[in-house]
Amino acid sequence: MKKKPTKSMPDSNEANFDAELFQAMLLKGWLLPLTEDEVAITDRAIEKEIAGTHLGIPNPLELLRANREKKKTASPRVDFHNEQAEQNLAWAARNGKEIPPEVREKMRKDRERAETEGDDE
Amino acid sequence: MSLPEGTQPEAFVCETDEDLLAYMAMQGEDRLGAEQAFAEFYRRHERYLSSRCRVHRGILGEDGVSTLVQDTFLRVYQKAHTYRPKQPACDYAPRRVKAWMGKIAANIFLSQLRRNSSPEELPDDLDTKEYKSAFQRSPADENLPLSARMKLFLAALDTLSEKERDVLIVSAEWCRLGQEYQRLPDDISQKLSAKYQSTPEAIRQTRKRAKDKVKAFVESRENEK
Repeated sequence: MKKKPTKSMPDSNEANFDAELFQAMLLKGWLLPLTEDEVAITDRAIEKEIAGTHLGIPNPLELLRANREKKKTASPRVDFHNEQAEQNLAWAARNGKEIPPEVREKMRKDRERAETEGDDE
Repeated sequence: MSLPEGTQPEAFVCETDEDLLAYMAMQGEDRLGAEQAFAEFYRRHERYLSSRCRVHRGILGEDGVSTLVQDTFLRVYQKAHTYRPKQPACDYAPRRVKAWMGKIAANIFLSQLRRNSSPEELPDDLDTKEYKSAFQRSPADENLPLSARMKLFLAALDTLSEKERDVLIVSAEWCRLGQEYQRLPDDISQKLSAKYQSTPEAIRQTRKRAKDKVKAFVESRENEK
């Protein structure tokens, strides 16, 4: 009779070995402690180590500020009803060159037409 | 770490870690207070968290560790409202806060490893999810000396190569997040294999070899006695 396939699970010896290995890794400080007991065990082991550890990362308020700035950059929100913003974008699209009066007039008419069509819907 | 003049969070130096998290949780109503509480929290825990996260420098590099620490602190600030203090307040509260930070850091660490191939948001429940620990010691056992067998395990770990150590660490962190008995996902294996100019299959073999090496070391020393 064909043997029924079974899910590969470690036997109890293997599981015990894994648990001991895991404990040793925690004691070595190789793993992040995730429970109160683990913190207690690793805290004693790393007291000396902590004294010399400093990564020199920015001050905390700067970190929050930078994160806020990053969010702004990641999802820019432009108010397209703001005439100044629209003008700036149009200028930017022309590499900063001045927009000729006839083009500006055409843009104004296009915008009015678009707004009228939008209102009709 | 030094804060700019005028931002020293003197008002919060006497607060407990859990109180600081409560202030941070009120960032919608009092941003200034929340930020000052965060600054004090950061001052207290920056060295601790940096030292813990540095165990992953072999995999992430120094810049990656710095990013991990910063992302963890940011996450602490953003998710302060999800922290659940134990009622009634107990002596172990500082450990509880550190354990909570550890869960956040471990999740971000794995997320960083997966970022290139799977840019997904961290799950919302990561800060409250329960983890089982292989540590079976009770607090009363804390001051007991290590067993002879555990000392052999510690010595065995010293014999591992950098690659074996890194693979073992990533595997252990992965297994702890409810993925027990499962292979490392392909994207994480690929990241490790890229670092060590190897193949994902070879990385999986490295994990097995490292465990066999530790086992052989422990058993041979025990048989000598």
